[in-house]
Amino acid sequence: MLRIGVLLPRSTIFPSFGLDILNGIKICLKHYNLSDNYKLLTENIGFGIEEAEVYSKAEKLLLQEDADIVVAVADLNIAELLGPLFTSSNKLLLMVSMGVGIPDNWRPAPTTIVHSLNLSFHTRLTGKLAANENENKKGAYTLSYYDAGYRHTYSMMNSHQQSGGEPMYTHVTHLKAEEFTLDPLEQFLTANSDVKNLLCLFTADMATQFYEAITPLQEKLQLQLYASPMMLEAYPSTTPAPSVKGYTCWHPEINNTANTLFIDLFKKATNKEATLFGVLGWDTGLLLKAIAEQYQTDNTNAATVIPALTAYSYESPRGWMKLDPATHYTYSPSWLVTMNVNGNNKEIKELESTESEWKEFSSDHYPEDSYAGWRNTYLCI
Amino acid sequence: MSKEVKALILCNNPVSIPGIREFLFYGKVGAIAVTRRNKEMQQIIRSMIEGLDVRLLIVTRKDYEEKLLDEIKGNGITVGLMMTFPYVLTEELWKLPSSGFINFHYGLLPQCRGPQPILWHLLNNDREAGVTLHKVDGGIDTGEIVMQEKTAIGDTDTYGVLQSKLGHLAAKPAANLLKILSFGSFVPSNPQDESKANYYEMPGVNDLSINWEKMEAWQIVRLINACNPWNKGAGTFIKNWFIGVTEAEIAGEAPAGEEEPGTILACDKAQGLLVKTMDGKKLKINIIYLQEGFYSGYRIAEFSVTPGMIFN
Repeated sequence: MLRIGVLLPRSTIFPSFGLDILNGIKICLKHYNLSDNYKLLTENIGFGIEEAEVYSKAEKLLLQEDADIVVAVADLNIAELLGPLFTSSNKLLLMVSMGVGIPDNWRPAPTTIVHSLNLSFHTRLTGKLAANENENKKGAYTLSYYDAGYRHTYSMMNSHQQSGGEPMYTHVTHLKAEEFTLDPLEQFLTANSDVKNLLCLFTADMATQFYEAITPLQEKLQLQLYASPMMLEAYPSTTPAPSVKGYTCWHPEINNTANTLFIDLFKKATNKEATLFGVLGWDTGLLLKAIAEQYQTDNTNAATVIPALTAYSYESPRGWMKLDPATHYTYSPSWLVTMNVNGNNKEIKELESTESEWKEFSSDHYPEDSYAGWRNTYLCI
Repeated sequence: MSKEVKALILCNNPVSIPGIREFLFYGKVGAIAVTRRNKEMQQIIRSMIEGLDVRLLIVTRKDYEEKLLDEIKGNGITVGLMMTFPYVLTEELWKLPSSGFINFHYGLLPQCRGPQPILWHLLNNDREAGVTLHKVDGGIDTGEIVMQEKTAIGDTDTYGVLQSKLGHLAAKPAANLLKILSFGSFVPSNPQDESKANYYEMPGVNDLSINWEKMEAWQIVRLINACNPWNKGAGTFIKNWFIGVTEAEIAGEAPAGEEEPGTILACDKAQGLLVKTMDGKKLKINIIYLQEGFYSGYRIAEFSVTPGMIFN
């Protein structure tokens, strides 16, 4: 029996964050008849900020609970700290996150897999799109205070500029909901009517507030909105709503067998609609299933399990999912989602060049002299 | 949840400064030991610990063992950190702190053991260098590896540039080591793969001299960079006169001809000092070191060196 340790954070803005991931894992393993083959050992790690807590709980799972694998739902900054513990015990560390980070370097650790939704990858593609599809290269950025502290913001702004986009203005909203306003942005865009492309990064209730405020402005100022994956996830179900487009990793209307199966099973098990977090959990389950299969063939050496896992393409609700042998990161297709006003004429299109774009992304280096960023696990506040 | 950590740091080279700074920043240093002959490091460490409750130990080959033992026993040291320390530790010493001693080796292990890893990474034309943190045991650079950080060696990296890169590269593993010492119940580590181990002695004159008959242009540039600045340059002879080549670059293809490798093709202000290499390239020597001082390469003409003469 595989003993799977899970370090789970909690979130006040998405209370179901950890539970959806955990449910995704369980539903996937149950679907593949592996329920009797594993034991989950869960530990709470707060918001993923306290490194001492994360480290000591990981050590406890390995030394006291004899876990074969530890799934750590936390951002990248903790992976380097945990790496030596897992390398020395030759156990697998599966880092699971939304993927808003970009590593300082992409060198793989021998027994670590980084599995995420690669949000930085998709915001990078959206930034590129905004520069490439418009003759008018001028763009403005609008960000929530919270999102601005993660590297997916850098990813979007940098790719926009590297692709020829001209940054004209950056607007960051206040953290408190009662202080939210787009007034400075509106003033700028009114005074600079040649700036039509607005690249946006918001999450959760901040995204809801943004949608409400931007919808009338879009019509008034004729803006083209480019949205982050979490904004596409939070697109209003009620009208009025603006037209937006952007790249993302998953959408409930992606048409494939694995997605249909996942949505159906998730709904049956939780009585809830499927979420991005559920997808992240389901795909974690796919990796655990593949690891369990390696263990069944007596390949229990963490350092040789990972190369074996890179040989497959996994049938994911996202389309396919692969484990990159060069980086030990998982990646999957990027989907361009286009919503016209009020969500009409929705279009979801797979990016054909995902593989080459991924290679480009994973060859890029985050600037060495930049260190700013939030320390908590993304979405866990 | 955190354990008390109090480090004794042994150092002898500025490459250690970024790593030391991490431990000082978190207030986890009890004392820092520097050799008596290294006045520069003493001065640097004094300024770093000014106002802090950290002792500076000045040690010699004769008294370092006694002083370090006293420090560990008398002041609650929990871990020793070696960062370019020239003296070998006795077993009694490295076993004494509760978390043992960790060595910061400014090179990749196990493939580059020995006292000058930065130099040997360059001389071996390695594509990568790095910093390896390993437990101190009875051997030289043989202990179990705790963690390792790698970096690419740039085509134009000199010894000085690479040393500086590695010094800064060590800051992150230093911080992570400190956290592991604080949060964990043990320091995780893995044995070195002895089948990949190499030990390199201090380089000899031949290792640091240009072999015009055998070395291609890019290898000569690498050697020159490996000797810059600490050796003032890579050695070569002309007219039985020894000079150092401090800085050079490849300046395209040499004109077809019968000249031997090492032949001076030009030596004037307009063209600079151009030398043919065994792979048919022009090597432009920009800076040379003579006993009289550092000179622009072409100024070797002031010493009756002319085109057609041969370096060997």
